[in-house]
Amino acid sequence: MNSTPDPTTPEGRSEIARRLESLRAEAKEIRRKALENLEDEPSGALTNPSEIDLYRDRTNED
Amino acid sequence: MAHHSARIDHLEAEERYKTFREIAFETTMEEFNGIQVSGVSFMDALTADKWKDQISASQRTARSAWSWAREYPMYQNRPKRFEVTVKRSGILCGICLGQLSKHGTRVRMNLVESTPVKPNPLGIRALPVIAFAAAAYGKIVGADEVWLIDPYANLEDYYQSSGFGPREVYHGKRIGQRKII
Repeated sequence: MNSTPDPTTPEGRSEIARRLESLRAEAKEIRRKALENLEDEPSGALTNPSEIDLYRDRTNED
Repeated sequence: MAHHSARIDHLEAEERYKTFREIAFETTMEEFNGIQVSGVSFMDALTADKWKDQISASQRTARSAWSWAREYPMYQNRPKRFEVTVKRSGILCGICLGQLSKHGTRVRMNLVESTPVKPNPLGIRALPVIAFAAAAYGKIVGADEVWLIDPYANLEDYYQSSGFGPREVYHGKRIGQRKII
């Protein structure tokens, strides 16, 4: 597991900014695709857990 | 004494991961102008639950089988949770509750719903914005995957158009779709 940066220090904030660089580089393309065919976007529930799944998610941290 | 120490650890983790989520929200708002991205409040959960009453022939009828108001407190007790709402002009357009996996390598999007109002007042598809916020949170905490858990089989292509891979088994027992971050 990677260690988490300390957001209260300049070094930690620099590390966070570095970790976000590659995602920011993808943002333009994500925005472009997210604007396509807005009318066709499926609305409503986008995940479909069963009752057992909901129970697992309340009780487990896997 | 041990109980007191565990309580302090919990509070410190809550504060630390809350800061990580806030940075992820800020990053998302910087990349998606005009959209408000924040955590989930109890009022947001109540608003999302009201979507169940908004059914019309012109909309997809799938609504959350869960109660957002019931699930909300379960997640609030987890410091490493992932939670997000996306709004425009204060109107709730998308909501997600999830969590960081035990070893911190995966961000799980467990519960996701977008407004039934069409077109989405967000002015952009909701899922890619929610997934971006999840990826930002994951990047910050050192995770390398975001998983949409229990996706609808008939929406597999839609999830893939939002950057997720095909359906696959998650952790040996659930179905999910994965985005490498």
